[in-house]
Amino acid sequence: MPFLLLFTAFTIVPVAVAMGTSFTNYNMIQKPGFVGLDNYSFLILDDDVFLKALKNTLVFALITGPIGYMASFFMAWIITLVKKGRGFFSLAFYAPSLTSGVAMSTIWLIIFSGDRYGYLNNLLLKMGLLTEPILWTSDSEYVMGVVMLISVWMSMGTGFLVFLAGFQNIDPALYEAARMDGTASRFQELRYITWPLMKPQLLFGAINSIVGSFAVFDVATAVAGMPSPNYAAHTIVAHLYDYAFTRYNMGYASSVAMILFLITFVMGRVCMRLFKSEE
Amino acid sequence: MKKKKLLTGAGILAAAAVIMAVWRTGNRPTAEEKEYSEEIYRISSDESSYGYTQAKEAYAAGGYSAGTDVILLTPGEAVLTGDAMLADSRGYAGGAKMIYSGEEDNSVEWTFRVKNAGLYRISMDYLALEGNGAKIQREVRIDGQLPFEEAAGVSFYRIFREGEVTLNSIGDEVWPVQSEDVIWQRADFEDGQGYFEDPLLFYLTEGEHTLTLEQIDQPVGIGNLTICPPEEILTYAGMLEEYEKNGYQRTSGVSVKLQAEDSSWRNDSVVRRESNVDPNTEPYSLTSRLLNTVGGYRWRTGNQSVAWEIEVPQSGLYTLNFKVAQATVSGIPSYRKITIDGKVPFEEMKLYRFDYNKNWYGETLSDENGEPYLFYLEEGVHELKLEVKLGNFTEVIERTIDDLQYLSDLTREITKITGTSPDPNYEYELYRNMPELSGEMGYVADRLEYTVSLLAAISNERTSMENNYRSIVDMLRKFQADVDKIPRALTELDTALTNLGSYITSIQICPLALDYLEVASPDAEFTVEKTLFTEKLWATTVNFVMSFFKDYDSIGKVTEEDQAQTVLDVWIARGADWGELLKEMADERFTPETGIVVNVNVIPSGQLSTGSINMLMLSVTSGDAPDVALSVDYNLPSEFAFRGAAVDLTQFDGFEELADQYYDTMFEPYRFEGGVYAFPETMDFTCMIYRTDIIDDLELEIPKTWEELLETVLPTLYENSMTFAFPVDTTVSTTSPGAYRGYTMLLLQKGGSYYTEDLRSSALDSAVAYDTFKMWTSLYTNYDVDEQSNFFTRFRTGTQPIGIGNYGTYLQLLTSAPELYGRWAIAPVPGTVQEDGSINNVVGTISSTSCMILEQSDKQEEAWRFLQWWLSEETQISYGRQLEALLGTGSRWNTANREAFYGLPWKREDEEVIRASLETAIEQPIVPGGYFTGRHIINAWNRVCVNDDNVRDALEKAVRDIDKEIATKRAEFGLK
Repeated sequence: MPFLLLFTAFTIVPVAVAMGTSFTNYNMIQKPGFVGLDNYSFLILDDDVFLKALKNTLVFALITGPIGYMASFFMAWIITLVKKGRGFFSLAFYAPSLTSGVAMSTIWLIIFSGDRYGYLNNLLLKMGLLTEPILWTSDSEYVMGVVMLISVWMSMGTGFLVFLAGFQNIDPALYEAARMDGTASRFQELRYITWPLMKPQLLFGAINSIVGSFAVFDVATAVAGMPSPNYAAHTIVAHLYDYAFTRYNMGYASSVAMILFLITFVMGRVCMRLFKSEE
Repeated sequence: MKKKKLLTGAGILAAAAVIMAVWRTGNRPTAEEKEYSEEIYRISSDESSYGYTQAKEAYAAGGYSAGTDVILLTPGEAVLTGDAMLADSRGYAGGAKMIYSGEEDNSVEWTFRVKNAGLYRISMDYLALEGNGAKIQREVRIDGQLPFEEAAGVSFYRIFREGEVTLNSIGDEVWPVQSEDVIWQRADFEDGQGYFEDPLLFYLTEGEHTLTLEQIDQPVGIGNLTICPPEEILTYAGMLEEYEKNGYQRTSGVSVKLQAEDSSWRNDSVVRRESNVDPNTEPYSLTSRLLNTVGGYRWRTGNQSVAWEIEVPQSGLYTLNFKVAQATVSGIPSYRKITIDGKVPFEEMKLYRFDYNKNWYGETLSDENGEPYLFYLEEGVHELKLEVKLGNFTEVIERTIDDLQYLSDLTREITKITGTSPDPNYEYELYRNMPELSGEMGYVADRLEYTVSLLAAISNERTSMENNYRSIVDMLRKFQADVDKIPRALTELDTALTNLGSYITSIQICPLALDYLEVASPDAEFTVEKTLFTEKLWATTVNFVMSFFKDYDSIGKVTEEDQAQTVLDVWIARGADWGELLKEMADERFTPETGIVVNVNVIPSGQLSTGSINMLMLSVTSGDAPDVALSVDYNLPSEFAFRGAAVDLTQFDGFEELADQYYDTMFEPYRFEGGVYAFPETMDFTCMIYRTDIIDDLELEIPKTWEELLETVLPTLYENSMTFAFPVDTTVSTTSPGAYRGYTMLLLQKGGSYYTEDLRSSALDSAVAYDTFKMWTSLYTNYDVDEQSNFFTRFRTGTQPIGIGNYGTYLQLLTSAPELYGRWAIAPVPGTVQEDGSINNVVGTISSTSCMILEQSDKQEEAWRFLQWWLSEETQISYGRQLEALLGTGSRWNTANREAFYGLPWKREDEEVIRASLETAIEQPIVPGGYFTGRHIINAWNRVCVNDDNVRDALEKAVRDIDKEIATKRAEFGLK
């Protein structure tokens, strides 16, 4: 029962309110007026910036999600194998996700500064690979790449911790038994013992990673500005934010939020199916 | 790439010629003191500095002795020009007249005869007239000449006394009101920085001379001046003999203790009582904040003094004890000049050193052997004064400035050959092209090493500052060993320059905190308990627990009895210091007059701007809005106005009178449908900033038009591997006007505007807008101006010696680039030639932040009265002045109040440029959906300059997007 109460208060009510708002033209100050499906029809039919944001988000989610997911799984696996200094390495991998995205991006921005004295530009210029500095954070060719790189680096933490815990929960006796039965390599151990035993963690990690990449915003904003030049790094959340806090159009922002909610919800179901079906 | 190599080749030839001409052959002498001759400094700058240090050396070299004449100069004999006149003296010397020397340009000149040549000090009777509270400064000229640099800023101080200490609602002590005591004082001419503990001495030859005082800052009443021989002060040994001769006896068993926070006056309102949480400070309370010490970090700049009155019960010899701490700057001592009843008791008191110790400790004034100094005090009340002097730091500071200048000139010579971004694959053969370079590097390293040895000699321990210097020395040594490493490590050299510059400002401070002081008999015991760790831990814990029960949310929450009165909620989105100062001033001046209590709420800075989750908007949503919001970004009020959440200020009485004190165009962004929905608070300016030394060197004229810039200045800069700074910073939020400042400027100069007359659509589809856009983008595509660059750093290293900057850049150079002092200037931005041949150099975007009254407020009349007070010239001047004194020049208050703004201590020639620019500036209106204008100008720029799109297509797409948004928003707000 307490769970139901909390769930209602913190999940169902906000979603319901957002859904309600999405049918209005609420501008944060004046009384909202009912506009029916106007917001949705504009969003789907007329808002080319939203399409761009959707595209960016999907590209982002499809690339960073899996990469971050796999990378954190392998890092966790490797670190489980490390005998000495496991704590240190764990911390090193987890630390980036503890700090705020904005603070971290500031550090990355020194590397990707468009000035010829930005670390990366300077290095490439010195090596003779460039003759002119590249505007990493405003050139639409590079912005997404930069954002993805930073996000992958930052997002590994949570998944990583879960996986690490998962690895350590596995009874070592199982490996010994398997060795008796003839597993030939570490990879076989991974495939036949670790993998099946870690289903719950894998599921959690996957959902986490997908939701995380759909909600990418902080890093994109800190790196490319809000809004980014020519919407090059515009994501769904950025779009939502733009409508909510630059244009103060909460109704429309809510409809964007509803779409985002729908997408992540569907993706979550897909993940569950994927990991459950093997059982 | 190829082009650059060719240019570099040309550069080498040119530079080689310059070097031949300027540098002498042979290595420099190594670091022996006094071996550095003046003319090898400043390879490029023409004016060499002649400070008081050099003057003193010249006095010693010339064998000048003290003069013997005493010459009295009276007000009646002076020749007065400008804003100076004889006036009633408010009781000076039996009703004699004084010279009133006002705030406008004026000078006071005396002619006098000297019978015996020699060194003289000059002392002046003055009345510190009510101004804005800053120190009074006058330039002293002898025979029309500045005898040395320090004479340009001879300073006279005011006297501040404080009222009663009161408690606020949570039982904390509140800083008392400080008021000026305008009384006649006498002071010797001293330097304004506190570099020299002795009064300035002037060498006067026999015969007729003139003495001129030129207005620099603040009004003053001048009485008699006395030109007299330097004061002779006995050494302590001499003083002891004197005591002996007069038969003064040591007192016994007497100890008079005075809490240091109860000082009788201070000469700067910034220095005040402070709260210290160490449980051993006196008085102390675990639960509430007591203002129980004085000084600390605020008492750090030269010449700031604090005076106490202390009653001595019987005549005799005493020791002086202080409980002090210096916890702010690690490792360095603080110096104080100690005077009793206005006189330095003996030589050793001119500069007394308080060691660094972050814990409170007891200091009995004593000689280097620990033998306490004895002071003879008569029975009665005495005035004890401690004054900040920089003492031994002065030499370190002066030397560092010289070293820095030398190194930066040297760096510039190197970049003449290598360019600012040297090709790592190219051998520049510096050892051949600049044969002296290795020797030069060694020379600078030697000099710096000597400088740091001075610093080390002062410090109590090896300071981080010393390490900073040493790492630069190490780097220079590395370059000395192999000069061909320099081109690849040019950035290191740049960084070193930047760092050295910042060190200069960081060692110019001598903070000291005082808990109490004692006049005690030599046999009285004086010990200061060391605070135990456990005591501190306990105090911290209690404090932490208390923090859950105290309401810290609003600064100085109003007291119970105030609740009955009208309370205004005021939000300010600036640092806590800004809010605290506002609250203090309102309590002191606004509340007593009007009976309206102001409750100041500080919210994180940047919270009142568009494009971020906006607390003000959220507060309106929840119906919990403040009455007044200050420091609101200039593009936000219109958003409130469109939605009917802001109050039209034109309906209030006195709007016109107040608005007259502000530039009319600044109201443009706040106009909507005939109303004005916010009031300008701060402003910005745009100007061209350039390095005078480099521009002279390159024999360039400051470009007056864009054509001149593109056709003559840019090519010359490129030939010398330099660039022009006009960056488009796309990483900042595109709602920030900084990003497209350049376009706005060009557009306005050609007579364009953002919007059509009826404000219903974008005017960027006009021919003018297209031409301008094409020109703007061509700067980056054809003329190769850097899209992004750190102007500040590159300006200092000389690789971007000219560029367009704003208030922020100006201030940064003023405060953080001491080595460039006197080597840069500002000029109007380049203009566009009009049909009649005149040059139009209008700029846009001078608005910065604003104040608004929220519609939800039920105290709108009171809110307006508050704004009237806050935005008045008087309040703004006083706020700006206190802020600058408190937080340094870096926090200069760029008030939008015209007269208050010009009342700030600008350099005169800078003020002219700024004034001209502000007077012609044009602001653009903000329309519904207007945030798209900036966004899409930047997007279009990006498409052209980064993605190489067609100029016309890019701009047309921008116009389409802007028009669409404007139409959508107009429909939303139901505008026809």
